[in-house]
Amino acid sequence: MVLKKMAVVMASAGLLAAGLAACGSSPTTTSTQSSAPFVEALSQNPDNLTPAMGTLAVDNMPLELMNASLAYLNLHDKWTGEIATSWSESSNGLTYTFNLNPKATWSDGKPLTSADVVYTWHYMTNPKIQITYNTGWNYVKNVVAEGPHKVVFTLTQPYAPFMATVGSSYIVPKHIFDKWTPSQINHGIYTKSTPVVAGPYVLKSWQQDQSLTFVPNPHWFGSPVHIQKMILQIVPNTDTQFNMLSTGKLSLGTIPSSDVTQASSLSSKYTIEKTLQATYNLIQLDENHFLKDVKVRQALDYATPKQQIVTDIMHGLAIVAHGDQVPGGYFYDPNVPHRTFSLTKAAAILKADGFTKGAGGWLYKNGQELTVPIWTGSTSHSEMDIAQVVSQDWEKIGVYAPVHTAGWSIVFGNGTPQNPGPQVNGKDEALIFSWGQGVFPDDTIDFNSKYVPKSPFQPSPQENGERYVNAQMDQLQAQGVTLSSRPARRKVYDQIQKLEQKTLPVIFLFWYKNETAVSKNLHGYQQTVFGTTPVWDWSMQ
Amino acid sequence: MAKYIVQRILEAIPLLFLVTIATYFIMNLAPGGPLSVYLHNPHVSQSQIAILAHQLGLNQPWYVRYFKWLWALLHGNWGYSYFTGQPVISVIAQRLPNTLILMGAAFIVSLGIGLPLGIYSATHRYTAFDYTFSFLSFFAWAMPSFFFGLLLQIIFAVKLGILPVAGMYSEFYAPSFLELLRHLILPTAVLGLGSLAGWSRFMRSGMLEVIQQDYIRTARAKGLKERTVIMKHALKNALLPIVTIIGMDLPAFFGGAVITEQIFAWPGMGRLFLTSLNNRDYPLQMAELLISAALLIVGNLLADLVYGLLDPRIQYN
Repeated sequence: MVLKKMAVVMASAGLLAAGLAACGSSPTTTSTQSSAPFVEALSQNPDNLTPAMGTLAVDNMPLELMNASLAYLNLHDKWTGEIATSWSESSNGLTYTFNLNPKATWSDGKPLTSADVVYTWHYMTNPKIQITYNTGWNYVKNVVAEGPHKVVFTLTQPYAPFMATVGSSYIVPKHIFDKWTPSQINHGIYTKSTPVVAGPYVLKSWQQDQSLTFVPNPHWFGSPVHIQKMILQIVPNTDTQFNMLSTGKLSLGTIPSSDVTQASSLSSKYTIEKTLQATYNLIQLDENHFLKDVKVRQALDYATPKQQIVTDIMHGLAIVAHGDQVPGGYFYDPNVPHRTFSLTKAAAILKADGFTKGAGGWLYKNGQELTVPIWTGSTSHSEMDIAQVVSQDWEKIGVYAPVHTAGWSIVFGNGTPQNPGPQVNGKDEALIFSWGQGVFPDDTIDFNSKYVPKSPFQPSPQENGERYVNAQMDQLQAQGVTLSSRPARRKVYDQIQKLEQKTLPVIFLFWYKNETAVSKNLHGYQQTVFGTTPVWDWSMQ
Repeated sequence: MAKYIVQRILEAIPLLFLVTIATYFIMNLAPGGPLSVYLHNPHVSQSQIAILAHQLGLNQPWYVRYFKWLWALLHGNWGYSYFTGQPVISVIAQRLPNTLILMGAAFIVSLGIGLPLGIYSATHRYTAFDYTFSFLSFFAWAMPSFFFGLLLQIIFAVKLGILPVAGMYSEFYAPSFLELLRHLILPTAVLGLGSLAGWSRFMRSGMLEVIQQDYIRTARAKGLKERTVIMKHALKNALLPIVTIIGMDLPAFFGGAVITEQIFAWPGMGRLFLTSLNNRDYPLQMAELLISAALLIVGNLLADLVYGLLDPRIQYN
């Protein structure tokens, strides 16, 4: 009797489930009608949508939809006006003058004027506001409004990355932020209210950890947008994202590296595009003992199988890197000489440098073993594989290279005085991770001697964690950020790339490529390493 | 009874105080810190990190920060998330109902199906059903939830196309109860099946122990129907260990299911906890751990009270 009742209960539950499933069996067909929304998955809930206060990469897409800057870099590496219609730079590189679009308007209908630009300067440099990213604003000496549609920036010194940092910052509405105290801004009053924005879309709803929905900004002053609803769904698991792509539910999605072999299964619904990313993978060599010797670093470079890593571990979704300037970019020098993988040459360099085989088959010099432990993050499967492959080849030439994995905060952190982190322990260590200054050339924080940690227990973000010191590099980088002529800057960065290859502050491994699934219903979307087509060029069938 | 409850609550206060000290201390022992997320970000400068550390009070020793946190808590202020700037209590309030829905559904499924199956299996020991059920229980218990979840997604969403892959509501429709139920099916199945397997095994073993007791033999000798013997005399006593387990599981209702919520993009407490842990968001972590500890104490108290209801020999006066 009990079993029969149970069977009835279970059958009822099954029927209910089947019924519910049937009720919802047609959403995708309904959704493909006339005004189909754009749906993209984000791997995390954005942490903060107040301009310049977020910390996560996933903040970028919603911020781009809602905000406008004076100018933006288009997908062909050209600065294009957004709020500004034109701009000019003084011959001494100390003054930038922007003419603003007189039609520029905030989403509440109020005009966007030069007063908002001046206010943004005060906002970005206010020490009471928890700004996370304000690089470049420290070079701004003054911002003056000359009438409602003209604004002049004066700098403390010539600063070549001005457009990449200050010129592309989002402008904030003075009439809204002026009403709030720094404490209210820090506690998220902007996103708790309906954010007043200048971008093409406004935030309609934000269901925490679920989705963000955007609709067109009725006061948008740029080219009209075609998509009436933009949905960013929060999906933390990459396999789940791939399953959503398989159902055709997403308009756009990055294919996780674990699923690239299955990408062809999406070909009926998506076009698969491979795009270079402005992020490279590297081995940071902490120069404390033997690694101070450039010959040792060069030998390790020869003994690092970059092409094998690209082919076997990255499944071709990468290209070998020879420097830190993004390939195809204006500052990239394709003619930089580089080392091709050769264990024989690596062994010969070390032998000529005085290393001899000793106990355990490892190399020794002055009675000391050549040990370079390799560290990487325990959350990155591909980097753990890379560490193993590199370790095997380094050990073939007699370098003892045990692999350690740990959380990134341990790899880059202080640790404790008894057990200091690998970056601060004063020993030779190799750290594998990804990095990049984007498509912009300035790499001062990475390789300039003034960014070497000041004390053994001073970890990154004094970013020159490898402790690389080279006076020529310092001099070239100082020129690189102050020269206003682009061709002159390129010559400087050509020299920097050659110097990087010669002296190896780090071993450059590869540039990442993304495999992106673009729905066949999505039109007007293009992507390059510099960016995508603007959202107003996109349309959904 | 009331005196007993008040006494237990008063005993809980110093315990919770000790829990807060221990968790705050251990949390600060962990390598890294709230600002370590910036270590791997080329766009955040050292000076900006120093400003942030000062603004968040992170340049003070952990015990100073602890007492400030405790003082604010005693005044009803749970603090603000380091990363969103939002009040901790509102961040939790946004996710808690979602977790209660998911965990409640899984609880109903696992209890509603698991207990009857456990009873039936015990009363039909060494039958084909018992063997099959035991095998399937262990199989379900051993199945990793991330694997099972993805498997269900591929079968029911990708191949058959009859259920949504993930999320709580469809992004194409206005939220409705029907949509919620559709989205609940797969995560509930993953969570419910695991608990169902466990609880049914506990129920089976509890019932097997009880039905061998003398008083059950006496009840049968008196000529009572088997159903009455099992449901009236055996079940109450067999439920005692289950009640303990459910009491201990109470914090899980609040804490959510980290892996299942990740796989099914369910916006609940499990994901929030994982995020706060990864970010070292101390105020958020402290609130979650303190509430979990309080619920554990409440769960135990409730379990003790239910003992009294199930077993008249237990008196609290």
